[in-house]
Amino acid sequence: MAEEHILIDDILRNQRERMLYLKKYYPFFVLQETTLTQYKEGRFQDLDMGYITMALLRFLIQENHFNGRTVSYEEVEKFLRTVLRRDFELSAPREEEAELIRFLFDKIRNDGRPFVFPFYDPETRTKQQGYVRLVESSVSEGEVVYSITADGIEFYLSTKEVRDESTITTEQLLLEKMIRTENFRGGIDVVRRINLEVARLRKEREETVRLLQSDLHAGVRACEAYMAQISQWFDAERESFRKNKVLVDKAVARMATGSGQTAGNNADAVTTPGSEGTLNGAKKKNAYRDIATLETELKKTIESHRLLMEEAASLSQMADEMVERGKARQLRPAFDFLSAMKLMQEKDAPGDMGLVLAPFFLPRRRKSLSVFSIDKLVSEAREEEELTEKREQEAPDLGFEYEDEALSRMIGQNFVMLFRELLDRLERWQTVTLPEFNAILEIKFGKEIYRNKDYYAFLVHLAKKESYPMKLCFEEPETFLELYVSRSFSEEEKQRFGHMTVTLQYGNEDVELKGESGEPLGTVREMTFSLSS
Amino acid sequence: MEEKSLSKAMEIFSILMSGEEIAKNRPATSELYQTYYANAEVYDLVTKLLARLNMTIYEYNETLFVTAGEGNKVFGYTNDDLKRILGLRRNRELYLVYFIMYQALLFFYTDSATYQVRDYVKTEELLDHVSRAAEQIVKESETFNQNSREQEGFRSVALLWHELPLMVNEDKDRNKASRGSRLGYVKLTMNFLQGEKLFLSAEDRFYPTDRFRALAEGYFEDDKGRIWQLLQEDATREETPLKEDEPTAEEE
Repeated sequence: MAEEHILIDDILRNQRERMLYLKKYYPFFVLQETTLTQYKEGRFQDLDMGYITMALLRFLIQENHFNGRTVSYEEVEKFLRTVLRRDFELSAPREEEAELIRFLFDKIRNDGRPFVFPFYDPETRTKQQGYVRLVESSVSEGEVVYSITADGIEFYLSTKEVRDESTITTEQLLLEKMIRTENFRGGIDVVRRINLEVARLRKEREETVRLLQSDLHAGVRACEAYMAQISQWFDAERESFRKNKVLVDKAVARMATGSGQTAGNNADAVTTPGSEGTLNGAKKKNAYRDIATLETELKKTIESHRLLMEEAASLSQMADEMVERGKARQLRPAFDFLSAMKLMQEKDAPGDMGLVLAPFFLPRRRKSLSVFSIDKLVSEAREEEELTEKREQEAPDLGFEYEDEALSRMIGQNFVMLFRELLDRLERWQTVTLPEFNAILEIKFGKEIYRNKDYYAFLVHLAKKESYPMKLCFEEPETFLELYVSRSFSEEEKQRFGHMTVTLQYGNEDVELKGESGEPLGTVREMTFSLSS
Repeated sequence: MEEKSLSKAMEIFSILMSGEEIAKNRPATSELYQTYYANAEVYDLVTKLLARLNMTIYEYNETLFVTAGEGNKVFGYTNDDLKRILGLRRNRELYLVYFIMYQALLFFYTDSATYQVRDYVKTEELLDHVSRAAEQIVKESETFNQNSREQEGFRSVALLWHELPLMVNEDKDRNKASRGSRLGYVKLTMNFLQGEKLFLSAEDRFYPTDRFRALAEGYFEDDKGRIWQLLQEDATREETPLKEDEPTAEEE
């Protein structure tokens, strides 16, 4: 039971810490997962984002911490171009290459936003998220420059050696081991990593100083934490440096007297069986060069470590001074904007910032009329009068005819034409059969008339009534046909046909209608039109 | 009361109310400045008129300014007014703009008696200043609860800042005032403060105006006790309740 409790307790309590430790690795795996299969039709899918990320971080460490300078985008571009060409044998047009480098760099920067690492904290039962940036940007002298973040350095360092309480001490132990085994080239790498760690601690100190300047309370807390952390390490580190320096000095002395042991694990050194303890000229030269480099690097590191220790000592002194100054400021009868901000933050009421800022704003002016123009409006009304813009109002085109209106007009014209023919014939013959009427139409319009839908529509409309007293039709039209006729007939025609009454009679047979070449087009019931009194 | 005095008082009043200043060394307002101090009747009238409207007059460097103070319901801005003017939708966006304004204030004045040695602030300095202040509230290395209680409050403001890229466009001058980046927010804020005649800009540097200095040094010392009391109470949030606009899907 107790064991189970310990187990669960370990799982719950340590989860958050583990996640925080893992957080710095998160961007790398996100980037590693970034495939370039979708980019430019997959032409660059062989590029390895993981490798490019590591290369860029190393470049930034070199520039930011060894050379003490930030880098511009042009420098990043130049570096990445070299990497792509050298390590991936990339040969793309320069413009496309530049576009690719921009794409890769934006990915590593995550477009300037932090990578968000989500995880669940079982202890508080909440979903948490951590932010990590590998590269940060800032503006310096009007130019955008880039540098590696503390997370970036920590990530880079932790990818090769397991980081212990003090990286410097761990690395020193490793260095000692390497010098003893005469692996001087490996030793150089270790010294360089120690240098990085020293640089990281110096950066952390700078951040603490900045915090002291802006927020005394938080600064003092950060300062105490920093001092507590590094003071434990310093003695052990100094001792290790001393030991390693002695070892390197011995190696140099041995080399100088020519009594050096084998180069052991040194990359270039090969021990020849039977000739143990001797080196040929070239190998000896290489080993000597490595030892010299190692010695120089170690000297540099010892110097920057000494500076770090001095700075750490001055940090504590600086914090004391700032606390004194802060106390003195509290006594003055001024309104303290900084304390007001602290109070708001304690209350967690960001809206209260508006209280302090509101007096700075101009009186709110709700109207759009200038105060100065009130007098003018009264006394110089004419002057203020603005010339009105003439707007020409276009009258609607009443003559416009819609499509259906045009169609209706055409049908009407055809109906009237046919009706006029019929009346004209009836006036002469008194009675007209449908075949006779058709024959007249055929002469006038040809057999095409049977292909005209209006002909059939005319007969259908005509069949709606059995008789048409023409006078009534002209004066009080009842059907569409009558309406068209009454509108279109001239007064003369109305006089001429007004006295007529047309009667319709239907026969029992169908009249066959044929086209131009005798083809049947349809049938119509036989009709007879006659005049009645 | 002389009609002439009333006319002068009204003239001074209307100029001040329109956000203009009355300066001794400006030909257009020099005479009014002299009258304000030389004619007791004019002085009284202007002071009374402004007092009735809950406004206060300040002098700095022989120039007169007026402020509506805080909590002035007629001549002050509500949070919603500011959101509308700045084109913001959410409270935390407005709070971030407040935060930037406050940091701009702190850049020059940590308290109202700060001896001024700074003439201007560069955009990059302000960016840096705000970043450091946000870092003090929430370190980027910390973890954040995704719960809703962090939707407002200072942590949410700092988080919003951390989430933003420094700028959208590599070319600093092509970044517009917007909510898309840190630089965009700073530009948005500084454009507003310039409109409020608190800063003047020249070559990417923002110079605080006399109006800014007059208010920073004068207003708060006079009203120190009252403002502290307001800050300690929860007065503001009761007075001007904020309506949170629902974020659009696009914003999410």
